Amino acid sequence: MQNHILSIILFTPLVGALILLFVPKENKDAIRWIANFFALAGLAVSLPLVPMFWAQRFEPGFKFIEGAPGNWIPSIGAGYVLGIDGISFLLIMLTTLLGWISILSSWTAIENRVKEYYIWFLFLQTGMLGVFMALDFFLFFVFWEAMLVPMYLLIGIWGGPRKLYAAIKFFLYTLAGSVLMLLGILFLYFHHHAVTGIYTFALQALYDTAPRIYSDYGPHIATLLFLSFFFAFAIKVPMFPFHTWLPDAHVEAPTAGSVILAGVLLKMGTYGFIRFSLPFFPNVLANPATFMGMTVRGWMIFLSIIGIIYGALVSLMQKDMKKLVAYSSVSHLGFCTLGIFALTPIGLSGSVLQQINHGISTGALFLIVGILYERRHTREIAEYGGISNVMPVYATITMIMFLSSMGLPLLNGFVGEFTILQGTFMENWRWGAWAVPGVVLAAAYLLWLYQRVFFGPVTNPKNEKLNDLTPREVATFVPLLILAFWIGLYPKPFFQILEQPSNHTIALARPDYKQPGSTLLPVEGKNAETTMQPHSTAEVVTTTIPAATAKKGTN
Amino acid sequence: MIHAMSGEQDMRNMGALSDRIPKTYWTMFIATLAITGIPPFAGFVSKDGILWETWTREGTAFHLLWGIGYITALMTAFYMFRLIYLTFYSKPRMSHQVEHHIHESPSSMTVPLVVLALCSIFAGFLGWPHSLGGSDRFARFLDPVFTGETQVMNAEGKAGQVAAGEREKEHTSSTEYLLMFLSIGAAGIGLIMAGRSYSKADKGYTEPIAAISPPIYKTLLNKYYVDEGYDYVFTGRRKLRDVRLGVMGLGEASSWFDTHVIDGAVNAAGWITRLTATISSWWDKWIIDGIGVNGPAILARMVSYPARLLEWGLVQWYALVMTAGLVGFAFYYVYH
Repeated sequence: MQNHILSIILFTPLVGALILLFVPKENKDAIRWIANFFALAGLAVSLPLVPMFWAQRFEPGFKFIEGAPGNWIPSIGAGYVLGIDGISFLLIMLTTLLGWISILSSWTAIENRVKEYYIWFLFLQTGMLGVFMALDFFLFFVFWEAMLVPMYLLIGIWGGPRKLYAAIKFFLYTLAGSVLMLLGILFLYFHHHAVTGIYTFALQALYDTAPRIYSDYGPHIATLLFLSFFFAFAIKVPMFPFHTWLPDAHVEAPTAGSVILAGVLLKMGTYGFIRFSLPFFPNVLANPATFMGMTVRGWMIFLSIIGIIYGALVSLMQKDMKKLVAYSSVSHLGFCTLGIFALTPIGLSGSVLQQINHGISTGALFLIVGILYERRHTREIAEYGGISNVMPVYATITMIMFLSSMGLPLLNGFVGEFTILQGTFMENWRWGAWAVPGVVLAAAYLLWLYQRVFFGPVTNPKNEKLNDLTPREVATFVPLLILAFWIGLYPKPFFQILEQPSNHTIALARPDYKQPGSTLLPVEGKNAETTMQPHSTAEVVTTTIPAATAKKGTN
Repeated sequence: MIHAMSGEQDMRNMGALSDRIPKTYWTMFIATLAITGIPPFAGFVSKDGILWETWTREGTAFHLLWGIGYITALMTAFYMFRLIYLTFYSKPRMSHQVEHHIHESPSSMTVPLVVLALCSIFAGFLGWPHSLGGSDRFARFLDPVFTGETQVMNAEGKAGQVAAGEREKEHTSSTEYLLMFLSIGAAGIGLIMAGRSYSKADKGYTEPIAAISPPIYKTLLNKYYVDEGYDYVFTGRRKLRDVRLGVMGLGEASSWFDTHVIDGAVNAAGWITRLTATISSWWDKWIIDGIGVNGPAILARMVSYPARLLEWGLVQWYALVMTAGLVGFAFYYVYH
């Protein structure tokens, strides 16, 4: 008897979308109530997953597996297979939460084509959840593409002045990457057939054969294949220099669209790196051959670090609040990819936690900008000033979220950034050192923004009569605030959830990796020396630390 | 004091306030005595403790460190008494309006001052040194935290410890008293120097350092130009023509690069696609379809024109011509 909780979570929003089809479009309030009900229901049905997952968080492998390989389209070996591990579990919970918050935040913001809006939004929700649940490459690709269409329409219909440009740019850019990925998927598919004689898209089967491509076809083909996946994910993340669709799409999208775009869609790229790129191509990542002086892995790290500093610098210069937040995403996601390609369990755990943090903080930042925009219909920083005098509750929540985004201790951002940097320093202190200016610049652009918008006297007479937050708006922030403090004060449960998948992924991506002794716990005697030695990918460090001690290090 | 002076913070515009705001004056005076290290106030105990511990460590570097500490103590005494002289003594240098408004602060401000002043008097007795008959209780305050370290020190071996103990014994008394005396002397010298320089400061007085060396005075007055350095590196207030320097300039450059080069490349890719699409569509319409497909058709139409002059497809007309021909032939045979 299979557990169907994943399917229930996956299709609850879609059921809502189908029901909305039968509601007359003039009946706007009924549509809003139904959409909000299903968004909340989507969150509610995902909550039982928490205790169920918690009970088996240390167990190996994917959990709650549904379906079987090849049961959907047997002729080509495509199956409806769902399953999650700690990484996808956290991302699913983030998606259901942000989905509900986004739909709740749209109540007054969307006035035209209300019915279509909510239908597409709920459809999008199912698409995103499917990406994080699918254990079949065909199914994964279907969801990956299916979620493009609603996002395209959300930007293109309910967006700002340059919505068409932004929507088409977003669609074409992402599609270009997806097509390359499709070629990569087909290569894996036919390679698996060549090796085993079986046509299948099942992920777990491909995990066994994909690493063999390096020896079967040579490093060049394997690297090209890595790149075909890399482009799809790097565009989605987005990594420098594939990021310019992001400021346009984020700025032109309606508030809820920006929240989902930043909060969840970007994570599909990083999720792809973790789920596919790392386990499929361990040899490509370990290949010492260089291109323009850097290995493949070196390039990944290099682009991440450029993204961190460059994104922050560009963010510092923006005159539009939403664009500022959009560029800050480039910087924050640079940290996430840095943590991934550091190829240490700690860095990877930190990266996933930082993705959750980014969803919380940047989701909240877009809500914050959206609230001002809804009242004044401008996002120019110069139009504001002294807002803390007229909207004190709003100003307080904003301050907390800004501090969380810039990584202040006691709030969530700090834990994520610190863990990423810890994992990176363990590999190469230079990488970590280059990333640190990003933290300082984050404080600079956010605090400067806060100063210009909230402090001082109210200089613009149009801002004198702004209303503070309504209870509905406060409700959208409450769960985000709770999570920001929870992760900041007590992140242990999150790291426990991430421990097994992080260790497992690194074991696949770096079979020769041995965990050096924890730098947090005192290490006695000889082991202290091995801990301090930097070690490269090529050499196997022989530590005498018992497995139990090494395991503690990731907590 | 700032409150009493209607928001004025510049000591150069104060003076002779001791009678006007006595509570502030007395608490401030006690605090100054404490921080300059005059016994038995709190600052003496801590400052002397630090200097003594530094001096008794092995090595020249620690003696140098002691020297730096000692000079700093002297400077502290000087600048604190300079503050006292310039604000509470000397001549009043404020404007009439401000002078008229000077008032003692309310008890919400003076009570905390008194509490803190009492602390500066008595807190020192918590760590009163052995050599002056005290128990040095404070030095062992953190012992429970450092037990681990103590064990390590124990493990270092008895010999070292004994040596250290002997060294300490040897130094104690005489040297410790001498250093204490020097320490108090520093406070005294600072007091006397400040008094000589500022006790009669009136409007437009000159700082002694300004008289000795104007460049040094200017550097100090401008806080070593650190703020100006920040303008070059961080704030972006300094420009090279229109380009801001430092981080802000870097931000502007990155922003320009992003819009014009990176996004430019993306838009150029889009533009090139549209251009090639336009050219393809033109090519398709005029060359492939035009010359290749419609061309032969047009050619055929032109070539067939003469034929079409005769062959216009009306059957009745053909019949008429045929009939006319037949009639023609008939006439020909009949009249021939």
